[in-house]
Amino acid sequence: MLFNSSAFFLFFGIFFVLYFLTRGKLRLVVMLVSSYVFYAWWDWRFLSLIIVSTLVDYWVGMHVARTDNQAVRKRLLLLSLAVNLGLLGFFKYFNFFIDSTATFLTLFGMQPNLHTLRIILPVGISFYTFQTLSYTIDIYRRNLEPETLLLRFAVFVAFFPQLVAGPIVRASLFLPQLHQDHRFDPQRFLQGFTLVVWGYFLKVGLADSIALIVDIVYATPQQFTSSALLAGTFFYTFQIYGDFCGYSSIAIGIAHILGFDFGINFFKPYFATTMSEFWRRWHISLSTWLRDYLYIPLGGSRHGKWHTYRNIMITMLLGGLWHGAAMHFVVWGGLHGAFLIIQNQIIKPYGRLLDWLRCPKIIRTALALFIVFAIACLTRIFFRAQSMDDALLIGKKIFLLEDFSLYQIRYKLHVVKGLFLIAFMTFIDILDEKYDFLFRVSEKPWLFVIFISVLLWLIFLFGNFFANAFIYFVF
Amino acid sequence: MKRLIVILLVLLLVFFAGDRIISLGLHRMFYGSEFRFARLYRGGMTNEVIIMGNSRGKAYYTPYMEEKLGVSCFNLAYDAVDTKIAGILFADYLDHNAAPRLLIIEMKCLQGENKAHEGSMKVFIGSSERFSDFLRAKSFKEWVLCKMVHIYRYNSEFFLRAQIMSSRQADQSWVNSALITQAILDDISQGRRIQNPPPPRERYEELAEILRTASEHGVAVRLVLNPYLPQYVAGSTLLPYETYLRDYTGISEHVWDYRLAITDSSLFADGRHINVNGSRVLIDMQIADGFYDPVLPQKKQPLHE
Repeated sequence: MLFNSSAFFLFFGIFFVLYFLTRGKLRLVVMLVSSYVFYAWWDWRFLSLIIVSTLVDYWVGMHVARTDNQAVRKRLLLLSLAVNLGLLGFFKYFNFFIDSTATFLTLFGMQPNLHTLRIILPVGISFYTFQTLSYTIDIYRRNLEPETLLLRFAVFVAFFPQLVAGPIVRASLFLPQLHQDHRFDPQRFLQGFTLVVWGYFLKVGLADSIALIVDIVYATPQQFTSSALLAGTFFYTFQIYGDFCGYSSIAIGIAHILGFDFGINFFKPYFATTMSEFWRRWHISLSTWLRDYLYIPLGGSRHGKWHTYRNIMITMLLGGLWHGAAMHFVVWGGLHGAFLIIQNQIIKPYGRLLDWLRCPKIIRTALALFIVFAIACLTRIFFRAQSMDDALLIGKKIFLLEDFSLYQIRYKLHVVKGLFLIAFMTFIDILDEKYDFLFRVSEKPWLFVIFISVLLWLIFLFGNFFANAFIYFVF
Repeated sequence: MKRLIVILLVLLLVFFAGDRIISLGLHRMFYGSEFRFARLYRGGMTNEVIIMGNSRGKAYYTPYMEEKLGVSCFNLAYDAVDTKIAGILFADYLDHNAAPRLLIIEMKCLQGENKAHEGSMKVFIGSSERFSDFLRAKSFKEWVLCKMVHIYRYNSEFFLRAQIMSSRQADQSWVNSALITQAILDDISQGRRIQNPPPPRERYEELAEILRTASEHGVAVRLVLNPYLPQYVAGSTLLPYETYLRDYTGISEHVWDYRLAITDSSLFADGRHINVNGSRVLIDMQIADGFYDPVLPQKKQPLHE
């Protein structure tokens, strides 16, 4: 079920009433059944994967906590990793590894006859797999007590606001909140409602309405000039932000209304002035997951420069692969890894150079914002392109400045509209960065009424109401 | 709790009051513009020639036509408009304006059905019963939304277009002035060809309806096929539209076929569209062929052909 579908509004209306009418275990039942209905709306068969993952991790969690035998604990953890990563590997990466193996073997002159399978990618599998993995790993590390009630644990895995596209909520954050019976709080409702409407503005108003500028050039890049491809890439940078941050905002807002705090998943990533800051602001629940469960276990920055760079690169390559089973996602991750390493190498001499030039602070900041945005934007070429060949073609056309005539920029009216919406979003983001605007706007009822009305007017005037799926559903 | 209910009620009140006030402003902005469809519904025009069709029909450069023919011409063609929408526009044109003497229809609007414009047409539901019925039949949910939230009617490409056109004297000079790029020529030389599936019978029936409406109002009709870049259609089958029209609807109407009439690639904006210079050449060619005879003063003919 999509947040931007009419079915969801009906679903949530019913859920909202049942949720606040119930308490204790009955409420957990309402939450679990609703979450399964929400997921089954897409394809009921894949509920079995969630249930398998839930049962395995519940069982593993209980048994890991019960024993002090380190070998048994390790075997249990490996079981959890094997089941979760096995499901993820099969459904998401099987064909990719077959194709990659075949390509690799052909480099040595072999003609392998390897067959791929027609596998449907279960929506949200990357998200709930990482969520349940964090649970068993945290128990293994003795950072978390296991959840004894299966029903509560099943709700933790499948709770619908974050089930299919995150944020990836850690058990240590979410499970304790599931032990409380949250009562309806009018102030929380207004705060959550603001986040939900803001999320719809980002998704329906911004991302979906600029999607067509992007889709047309990325569908057949060979037909477009450098200017059209650059415009498409620029708008994609905001489309994916609007789409994913919008989803997160709706999910976090809904959870907030229901009494849960999920933390934040995006913190104005395009206001970052370094690449490492960008990753502290973009998809925070994934980047912190990768930091805590991959980068730090690999050694983090504890064993010298070269080990640190190796660990950064492994983390970013796997982060790229998490997004999709295709080489262009891996390259995207690799590029970000490379820029993080380059930044580490040059940031000090670069600072000294600017000192020597007596560069004013405002220009330094503007330059840093521009460089980070440009890197984030141009590396998106590999993220959005349908294949490596397309990505290389687009990159070549843009960087060789082949043809910068504006003629082939399609949907110019939507370009103007898109720029206006991006400017509005940036204005609100600046307010939010400075004053925590989105969270605090409801403290002043008149400001809340005006702000929500403006957002709704903009959504109705500029939004795309044809219920497009969220980009991160396929990851 | 009482405070929350009050805030939400005030929100509803402000939202709907603002919706009505803003949509009034948007209405004035739209219908005050020089955009072709806004002028259609503003009414009171007395044009002798009108042109309908999709982007290929849009290529008729009416300032040049007026200069050459000495009569008032109005281009009602728009990107991706199909025969269903063209039929509604023509009927509404006749309701709001004086009947023209000649209607030119570029036949490529028979091709396909453009769903994007079905949504854009909602900007007219306050002015056109036909479009209101059309939208209700196509998407009841969207029609209800338009009735509830008036701002939503202006969530339309036409509204955006009107805001750009409104700063101009008229949108009638809106013809592609670009020269075909080397990239497109290369693409064509590497084998890119016209996608030309036969239009479904339904489209011909919609065209026949336009022809009947024209006939009832004494409007002469020219069915025409504009030029393609010859290399772009080389080796493709050029569809016999005239035969299809006769077979599907029983109407025998001559189709003026200029599909291969222009060979100079500098007169094209791409493989499918002539540019403004190509438009001038085509109009001259058509004048010489007697295409505009029904409106030329020296050759005034009976309105029914």
